Amino acid sequence: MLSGNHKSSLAGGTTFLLLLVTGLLGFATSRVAMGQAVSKKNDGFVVQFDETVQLRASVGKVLISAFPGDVDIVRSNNERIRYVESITVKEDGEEDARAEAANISVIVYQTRGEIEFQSRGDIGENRRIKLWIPVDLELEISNSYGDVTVEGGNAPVEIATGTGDIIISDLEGYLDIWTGMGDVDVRNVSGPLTIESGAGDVEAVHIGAEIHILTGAGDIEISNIEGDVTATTGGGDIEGDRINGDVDSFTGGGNIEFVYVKGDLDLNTSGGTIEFEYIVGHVRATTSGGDIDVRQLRGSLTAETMAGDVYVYDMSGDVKVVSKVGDVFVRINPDRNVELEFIDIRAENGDIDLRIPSDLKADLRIDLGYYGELETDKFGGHLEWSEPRRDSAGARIRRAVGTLNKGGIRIELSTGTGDISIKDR
Amino acid sequence: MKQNCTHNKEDLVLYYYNETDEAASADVDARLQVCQVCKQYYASLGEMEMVVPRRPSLEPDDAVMSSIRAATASRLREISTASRPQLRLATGRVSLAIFRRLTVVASVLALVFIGGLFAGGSGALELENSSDRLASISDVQYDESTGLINVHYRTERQSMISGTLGDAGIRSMLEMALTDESNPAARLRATKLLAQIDYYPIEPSSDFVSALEKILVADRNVGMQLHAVKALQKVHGDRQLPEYLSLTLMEMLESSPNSALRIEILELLTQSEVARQGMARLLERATTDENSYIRNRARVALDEMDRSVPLEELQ
Repeated sequence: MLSGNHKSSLAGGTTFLLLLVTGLLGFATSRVAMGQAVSKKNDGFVVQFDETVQLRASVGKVLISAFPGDVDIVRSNNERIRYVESITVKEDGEEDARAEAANISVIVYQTRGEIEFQSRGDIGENRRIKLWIPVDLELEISNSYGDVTVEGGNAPVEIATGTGDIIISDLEGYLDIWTGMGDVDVRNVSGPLTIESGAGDVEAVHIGAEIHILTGAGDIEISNIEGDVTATTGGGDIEGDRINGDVDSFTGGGNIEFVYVKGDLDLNTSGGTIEFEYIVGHVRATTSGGDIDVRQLRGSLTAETMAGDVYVYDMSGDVKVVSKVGDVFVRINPDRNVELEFIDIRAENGDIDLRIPSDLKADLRIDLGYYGELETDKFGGHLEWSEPRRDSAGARIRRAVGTLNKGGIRIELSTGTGDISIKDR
Repeated sequence: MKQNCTHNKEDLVLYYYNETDEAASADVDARLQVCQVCKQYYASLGEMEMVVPRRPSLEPDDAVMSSIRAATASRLREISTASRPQLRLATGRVSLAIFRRLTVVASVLALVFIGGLFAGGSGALELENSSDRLASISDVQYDESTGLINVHYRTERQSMISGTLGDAGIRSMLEMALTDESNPAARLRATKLLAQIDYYPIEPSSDFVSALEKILVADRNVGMQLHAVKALQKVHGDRQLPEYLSLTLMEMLESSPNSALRIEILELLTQSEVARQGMARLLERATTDENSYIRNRARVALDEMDRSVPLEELQ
């Protein structure tokens, strides 16, 4: 049997524990009901809650958990969070609809460092919540389905959604997005940025740091990026414009196109075309079954296609091009700031058309099929043909070795069944 | 009169087609006044034009076209029946041999056809005079602005004919390019063209389908296979695929290591009227493909199918 003192100390201990739990774990926080509106809609009612939560000074992060609908975040300069939640409920009477909606509306928990808006159950139709959140609070959103929109903020944001589109704009801080199935649109983010979508298109514009994008089945479109880029899609197209950083991109079956890039490019598609223009950097481009189209490249190029043509209009660095089937056209415009040591072109079944300055000094080696033809402009130099021989595949080839303008860089051109042309650019 | 003419005949061709500048035209005018060989050659261009009008269509001599059609159809039938029962990707020797045989036939056809062209207005086949000519297609282009297909071919010199897919001569040239094993570049050109062109209102040739199927099955270059599937998408549209082709495609969908090829094959199968039960099973398997795009595409296609007919009814 407990004495009165014991009772008193137990009561005091319980109070202490309650305070401790409250402090550590958080409790449903007090809300100021601003209003509740109900309107009739089809065979049910739309119940709308409009409430405001006073934040503790220590709160630095907002969590929105397991919300089964659209989430819309806008930023404010207040120290409070206002939220408006609307729930469509199928009930016969208005009072029943109010009661049902109150049962499933979000509960707000607040701990020392975080405030959490948690949905009660994955029920209700057409649920939407809009929150006005202080601009400097971090944000973490997870919803099972529905779209997520975030506008503004200068703290990191993390979003995970099962199915739904995500739209983010004007954010300072890193951004991390995961969606099982949905499109992602991101604009004006200081970054860095990570986006992963199971299936959906991704567009990122004006990103101030490195970006990593992975989509299982969608297109990727990026522009005005100040940092390195990794862009991967299971089978969509990849397009990039104005990038200040290295690019590494892969698609399982789409096309790749980049313009205005200052950085090295590594572009790989299992079977699409690759196009790039106005690049300052070294490029490696590989496709199993498409054309490769290059314009204005200040740097070196390594390009390979299993079946497609390669067109290189104006580049200045080393060239290595391999085409199993298809023609190759390369025009070289040397740049004193870009190293040019070799031009190596192999078109196993196609023509080679090389355009170079007439004063380019080079050591030349040409391998032609037996019926292939060589056509050249008048360059200073000489060329000597050796006797026809057979290559490793047994085909008869002819080899010519010589120099242009007394020798210099290495030029090797080889085709099995096509013609070769070397002309003044 | 000059008996041994060394004048450049290409100037005459350009002149004939009004593609020379003013000075060159004046030179040719003067030359035609004095050189009998050039004059005769120039006249023959007009006769050739009667056989092969530049536009809008080609209408070569009936006898020539009949020969080409008969020989081509018979050879395509031969290769089809020779390979179809196997329905295996690794057709290896058989397919290559088929290609070789077809190449020979295609070359002969080209000689027949081109011989016919050079025979002038008579339309007679003068193979004796053209047998020493090497006939090969060097390029195939499609001019989107005019809708014309330009086929560049090489005999004694480089030549070109223009027309539409409705022209039998153009179709024969394309079939020749598609089946020429010794000329992968021409095969690529023709395949890309078939993937690019708008067929309406022309009914695509079933021989194209046979030729493309051969590329799909026998060509070891995955890029060529990819172009062939893209061309089949265009050639077939949403019509029902022949069963043998469906089976070939389904097998490739499950066995090809190249994701782009599998994606395009799935696209072709889903756009065509494949038997629904077979398609449902195929799509089920595709939902476990290692490529996320294919898995997703298969799920979407299954959903669409489920909306029209519940899957339980198909299983």
